[in-house]
Amino acid sequence: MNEDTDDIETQLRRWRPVAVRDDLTRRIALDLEGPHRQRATWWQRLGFRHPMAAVGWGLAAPALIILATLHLDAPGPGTAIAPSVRAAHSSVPPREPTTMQATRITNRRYQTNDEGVVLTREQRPMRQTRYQSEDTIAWQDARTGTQLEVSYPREDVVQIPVTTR
Amino acid sequence: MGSQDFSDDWRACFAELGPRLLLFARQWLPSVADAEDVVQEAFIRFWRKGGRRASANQGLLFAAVRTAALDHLRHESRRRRREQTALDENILPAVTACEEPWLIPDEGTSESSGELDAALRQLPSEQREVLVLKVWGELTHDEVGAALSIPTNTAASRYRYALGNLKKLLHATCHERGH
Repeated sequence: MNEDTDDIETQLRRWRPVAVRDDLTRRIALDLEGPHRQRATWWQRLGFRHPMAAVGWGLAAPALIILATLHLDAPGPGTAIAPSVRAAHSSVPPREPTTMQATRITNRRYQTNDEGVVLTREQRPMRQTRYQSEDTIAWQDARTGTQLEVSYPREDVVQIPVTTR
Repeated sequence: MGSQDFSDDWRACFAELGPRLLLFARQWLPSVADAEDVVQEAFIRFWRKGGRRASANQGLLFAAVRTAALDHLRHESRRRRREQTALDENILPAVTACEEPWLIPDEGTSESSGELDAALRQLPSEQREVLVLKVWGELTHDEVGAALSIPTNTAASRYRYALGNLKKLLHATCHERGH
């Protein structure tokens, strides 16, 4: 029995499973790396390991800014501000309104589910297909080159009437 | 741990295990698209639940694919029952059996995959799943047992029966062809 099975086992090992299509790897990448992936918590995104550390820094930062502003705005007696600094302060041009323009709109479908035949309220048979896709809109400020991109998931359900005899 | 490492890990893991997982799923699901959906679902769920250890514990990943495939089958059978209730029997075309091969030969092997695929499909499912996990999943009998929730000895005996049956089936095919 062993010799027999060894023989067939050797024969089987000369075969290998059919390769996975690139599309499947892309779909998994979209799930694991795309907008639907499990997101890090807000404090992890800010680079903190513990939420209290983030809260602490969050409270400390405005306090420091307020203190620094008070210190700059109210110089003590005898403190002279250099004319060049004063000039620079006053010569900052007023901020212009942004000129963001949409440059790209894409729709990437990553899953199609045929959900079979369903009945409407009127008992009419319809074939229902659910499409899941990701829409992306990109804007660019022509003046400064600033780019903004927003992606969000979308789900479409399409029903096509089925002809009955 | 940066996201780049995470990404590289899953890609390496999937490049290695993806074809085996797909082969395993296709035992139950005749459509390649369905099998791909199941592998996608199982792999993503597994990876999010700590899949970094996937390469060290492949049996769990195969078990996840099996569970997803059986869930899919149950869902499909419910759907078909609904459709049958809603419609006359002959309105929808019957699902054609998938003819795409499960296996391809290594370089230097001149045989066609049709006979082997056909023989594999004829094996009892409990033998076939053990065979696939052992030969192409490269799991040990212990790991096969753990993945299928059966004792190791049962996995080993099913494997022996599967090899014996497969040999008989291939032999019969050769005779039919007049070899």
